[in-house]
Amino acid sequence: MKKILFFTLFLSIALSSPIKSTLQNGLTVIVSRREVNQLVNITAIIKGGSSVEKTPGAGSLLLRLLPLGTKNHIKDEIEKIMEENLIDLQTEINENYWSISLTCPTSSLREAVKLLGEIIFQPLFDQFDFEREKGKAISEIEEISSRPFISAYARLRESLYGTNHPYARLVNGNKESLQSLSLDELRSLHLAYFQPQNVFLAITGDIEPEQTIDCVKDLLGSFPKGEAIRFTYPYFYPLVRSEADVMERPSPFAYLLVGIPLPGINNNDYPVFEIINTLLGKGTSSRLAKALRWRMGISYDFGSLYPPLLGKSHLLVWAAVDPQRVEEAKEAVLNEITSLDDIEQKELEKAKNKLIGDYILSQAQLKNFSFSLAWSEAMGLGYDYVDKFPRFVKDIKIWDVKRVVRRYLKGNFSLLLLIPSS
Amino acid sequence: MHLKGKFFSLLFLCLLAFPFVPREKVSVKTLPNGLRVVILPRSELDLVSLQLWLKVGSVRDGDKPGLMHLLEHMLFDGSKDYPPGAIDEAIEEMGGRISAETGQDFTYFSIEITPQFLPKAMEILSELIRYPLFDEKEMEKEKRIVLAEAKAANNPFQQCAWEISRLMFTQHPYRYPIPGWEETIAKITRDDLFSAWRSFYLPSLASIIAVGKIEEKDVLPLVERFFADWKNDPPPPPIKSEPPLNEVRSSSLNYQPVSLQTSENGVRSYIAFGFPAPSVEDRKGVIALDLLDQIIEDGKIFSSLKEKGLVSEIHSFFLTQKYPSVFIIYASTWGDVIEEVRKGILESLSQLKTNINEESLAKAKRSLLFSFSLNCETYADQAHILGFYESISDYSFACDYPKMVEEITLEETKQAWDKYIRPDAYCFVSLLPKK
Repeated sequence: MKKILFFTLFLSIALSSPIKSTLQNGLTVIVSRREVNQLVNITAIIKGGSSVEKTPGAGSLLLRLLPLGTKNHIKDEIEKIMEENLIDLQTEINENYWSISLTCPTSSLREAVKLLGEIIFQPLFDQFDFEREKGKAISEIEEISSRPFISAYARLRESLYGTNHPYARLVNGNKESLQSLSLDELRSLHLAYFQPQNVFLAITGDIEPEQTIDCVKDLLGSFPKGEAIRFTYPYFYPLVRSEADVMERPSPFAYLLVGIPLPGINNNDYPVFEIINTLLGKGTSSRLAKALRWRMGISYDFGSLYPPLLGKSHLLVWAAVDPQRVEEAKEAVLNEITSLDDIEQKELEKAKNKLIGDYILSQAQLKNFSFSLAWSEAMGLGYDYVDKFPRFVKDIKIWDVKRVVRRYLKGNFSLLLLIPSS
Repeated sequence: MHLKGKFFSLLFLCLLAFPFVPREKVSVKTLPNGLRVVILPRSELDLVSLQLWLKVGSVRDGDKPGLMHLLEHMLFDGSKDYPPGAIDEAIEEMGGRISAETGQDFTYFSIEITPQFLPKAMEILSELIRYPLFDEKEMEKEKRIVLAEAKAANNPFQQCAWEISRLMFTQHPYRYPIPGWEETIAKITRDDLFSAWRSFYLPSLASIIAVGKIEEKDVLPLVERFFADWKNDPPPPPIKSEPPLNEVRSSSLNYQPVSLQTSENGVRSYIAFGFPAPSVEDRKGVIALDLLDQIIEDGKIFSSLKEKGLVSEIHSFFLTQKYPSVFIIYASTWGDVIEEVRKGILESLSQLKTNINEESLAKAKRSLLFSFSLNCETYADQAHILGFYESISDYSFACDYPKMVEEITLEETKQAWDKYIRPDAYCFVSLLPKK
């Protein structure tokens, strides 16, 4: 075998350092130049997301309605603007934010910023669109929530957070909650959160930074500031004992899921949680891969996940296995989790390089780079966290890993087994 | 020309003028053993994408569908200097990513890494391709994994697509699914793997692509060091060609709904059309069908079917291939309206052929080029697009693509659509839920 390489990954993500500016109405804009095929990406993160909605699914439905009409343009006109200016629009909601991302040729930048401003601050909220989108959302959620892995993960989250916690539910809501939604609830949700001081914009690509900031000031600077927002997160009941649950669904495999409570991204150990996630289940050389794929050959679909959430997060470890081999898989997975503090420098260094490398590679795409800048700023980490994160990871000591494993990974966990229904 | 028209063409030209994969920056060298090396230096990010593309894929499975796919998997399961899994680990510990894929016409291996590790990445690439062990025990383990992979990917679209291929190709190996079937995978022996590897993993069938913060002088000596002594053999015999399709072929299948594929109209059914499509040799034909694919994705042409509630989703799929292939239109619908949907789709296609004009073609071209530019965004994307066209034709297809789109005329587009999208020569599959 080859000797282990100890080295430092030292990479510059942006061409020039990003520039941040806060408009008078409180809107934050971060710009960074990178020459990519005359393309530009504009990503807006609006803080809030599904954890601030009253009725599950409200935030998600709100996001669907935004591009369907504004005070100045009806749906067809918006489609025409997007078509003429080659604007590709993608939206996303998670527990802590709404995200709206536009990619277009640099020549369409001004039109795209203008359109984004209208979509965020001046949506039409048409009753007919609302009813239609609600219908679509209901049929989608029924399909999504019946997928074996999704339904198992939802059940596991209920056990981890308690049924009433917003992190316990699917961000798209459920049939009953969506049916009970009114357009007024969406309007008030919009009024409360979609205001300049709660919007974090990142623009990256083939642009002139100063001119771009001027363009944003010109087009988005006159939207009124709105009321101050106070974010509070519901109380999290810790798991008082380990729990195990079994469910049945039509599925080609059995799914084994283990959930372990962990603090969120605002905890100082956040980079250590990411390292633990990498060590355990990321890529084909992780501990799970070595056990389940290379040593035992019993799973192809496995891994771990640490959702980067505010407040309380968790570590999810899963494996899809042949129903006959569930017991073997369970023993192996639990063993890998609890023995993670048995680690040597060599393995830690490899995982650090993997995590940093993955992070840097993911920033090669403009939309990911914009997202990281806007998300870090919106979540209170600061936009320069995009550069700091690799350094924090590099500084992790073996003791940090052992400490975090002993504190969190050897305590209570929640285990869920989904078995194929006959 | 009115103002809007002017605006359109200015923006259009501006996009077209941009060389997404600039030909003048690409250099290509061929080693005496036939291995081609395509290099595109870039300077923005401290990254390099290194890929090796082979001009062989599942079309070389012979009577054991799944062979070439299993072979690609097995290369990671132990080689001269690396035990199973160690290649992945070596790349990951350098902060890189490694992946591989088997298509019908190609197999490729991709490494993304920082330029300082290019020598190591090149060594690993040669180890992966040239020195596999094909350990018997590992093979049995890997067979279970490829089967699980195939099972996981078996969604209704995939089922329709393979059935379309089965109907469309009576002789050509595009007929068989890339992962094969449980029975055929089970029969694959270690000798089959060795023999396929010896016959098809040849330098004259391979191209190495490097895109990123590198120069030709960084890459070529490394390629020579690790690949110059890669022995060449005569190329494999040509593939049997498929006689043209001159009829309508239909079939109906059932599927087991895994998730709740229902709506207010009941459990979903799926339908798919397969129209004969050009090979990469017919460049105008390829561009014309790429434009059709884009028009369908842009979503207006079947809007009346959606408005009437006859279909919930409708998409198309067209991959440029080495041999004449298939253009697929795929929709999710409901069992009792399948015949209406079938007629509606054919009717909409016929209307499109009649109604297409210079303005709507220009729109489709802009939209297609924008999609193309998004597909060329990262170094890995650029290496992928160069390697993909290298494997089925020549990398220059990628460089010329914007110009070809610009130059195709309305007449040529219509001619190609008339040639390939015919109401009397297609395959049709319906997929109904099991009761």
